[in-house]
Amino acid sequence: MNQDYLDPINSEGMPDMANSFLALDFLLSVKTGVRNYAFALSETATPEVRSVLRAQLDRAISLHEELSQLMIDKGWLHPVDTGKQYQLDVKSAETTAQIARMKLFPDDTSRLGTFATPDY
Amino acid sequence: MDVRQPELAMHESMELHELLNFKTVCLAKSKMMQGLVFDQDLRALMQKDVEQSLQDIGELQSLYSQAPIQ
Repeated sequence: MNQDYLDPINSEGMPDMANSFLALDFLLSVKTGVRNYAFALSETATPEVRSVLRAQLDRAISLHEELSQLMIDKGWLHPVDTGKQYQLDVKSAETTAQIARMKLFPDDTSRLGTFATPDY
Repeated sequence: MDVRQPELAMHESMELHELLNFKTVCLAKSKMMQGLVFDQDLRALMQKDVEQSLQDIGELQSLYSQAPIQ
């Protein structure tokens, strides 16, 4: 990967990378949600709060099942095949680190004057 | 009709505050990331999360309105 982020060679395999990256981000959010609901549920004192949180926890668990299954089917997650998962982990960490070392944005990103914010 | 809602416990209100903010951020993310995703099945699941989150946030808001911190 060279430093020119406009070079088409760098876009090879990009859609699938983006898909699996965004799916993983989504999965981590869903997992965090399940944990957060379980913690909150163990602090409830009012029946109404308890039943609402419990119903929402159930939905979060169902969403986790659906999403992890989708990721397994698409080959973005390998919970059983540790060898494959290891390869994927190393590759995505390496690629992301390479992208992160690129200069993607101009030095000044304030963009003042391009929005209708005269009082800012 | 002025029926006083029962108030929640203080620590319960804090949990609701945390959950509400968490769900709000998740909703915004699932809505926005749909525009970056190429895979349509993944996109459909994100949209499902958006609809679910809207309902969840509505329920959390009505509970949160009974918090004794206003």
